Amino acid sequence: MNGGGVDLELTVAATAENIPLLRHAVSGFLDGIEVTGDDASDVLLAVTEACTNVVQHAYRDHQGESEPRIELIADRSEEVLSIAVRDLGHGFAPRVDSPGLGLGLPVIAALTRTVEIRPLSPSGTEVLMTFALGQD
Amino acid sequence: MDDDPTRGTGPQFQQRRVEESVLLLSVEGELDIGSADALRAALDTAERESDIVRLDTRDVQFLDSSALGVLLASAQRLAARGGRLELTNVSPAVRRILDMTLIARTVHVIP
Repeated sequence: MNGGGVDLELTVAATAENIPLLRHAVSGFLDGIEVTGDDASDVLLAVTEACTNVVQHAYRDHQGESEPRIELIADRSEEVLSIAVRDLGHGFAPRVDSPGLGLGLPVIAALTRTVEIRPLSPSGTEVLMTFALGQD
Repeated sequence: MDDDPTRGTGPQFQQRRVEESVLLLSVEGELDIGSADALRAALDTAERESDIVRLDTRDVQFLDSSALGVLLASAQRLAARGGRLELTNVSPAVRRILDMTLIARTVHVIP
């Protein structure tokens, strides 16, 4: 990402079973950079919601050559933590049979300082979240 | 990785009747998309046995919107037959998402 900070990069198969694994990895990363308490809880919830969106939406009807996967990249610089969650699927297309409440993105928006959702080339979506640390 | 205690360990559920009309369902663990099916199954079982299900979340370390959806569906099913879903011993992390999503208006939170 923007470099200069402490980084974490993970790539796992986009399955529901891997969501806790990602969350625990990010939790360990947060411990290492001394992000704790409510700040850590907010980050872990937002990351979980973003990764859940990938599992539920990004690879629905996936037939591409690439294996469905989630990429997570975290970077802490100064008082800002940035976390990108990426997929190589087809993003956030609305679905009438969604198994969720549609609360994922609103929850992310409520927990983050900024959130950007942008397409990746040639396919995929990146959800880039930033968190202001130590502001409470 | 096989020794990682976080892998393959889903939430644990225990239920017991605490009043004639109230079934207490205690949950321990993390509730997300990976454990939503287990939560749904535990609530289904509790709903079959009582019109009032009280979910003790004292030992729930994490709860996301996927799990919240399961709780909401259970609350709606119980309400449709005159019952209710209650949450008790709500941890700060659980309280945060309840307030954020206003679902505390649908389930009954016992302070």
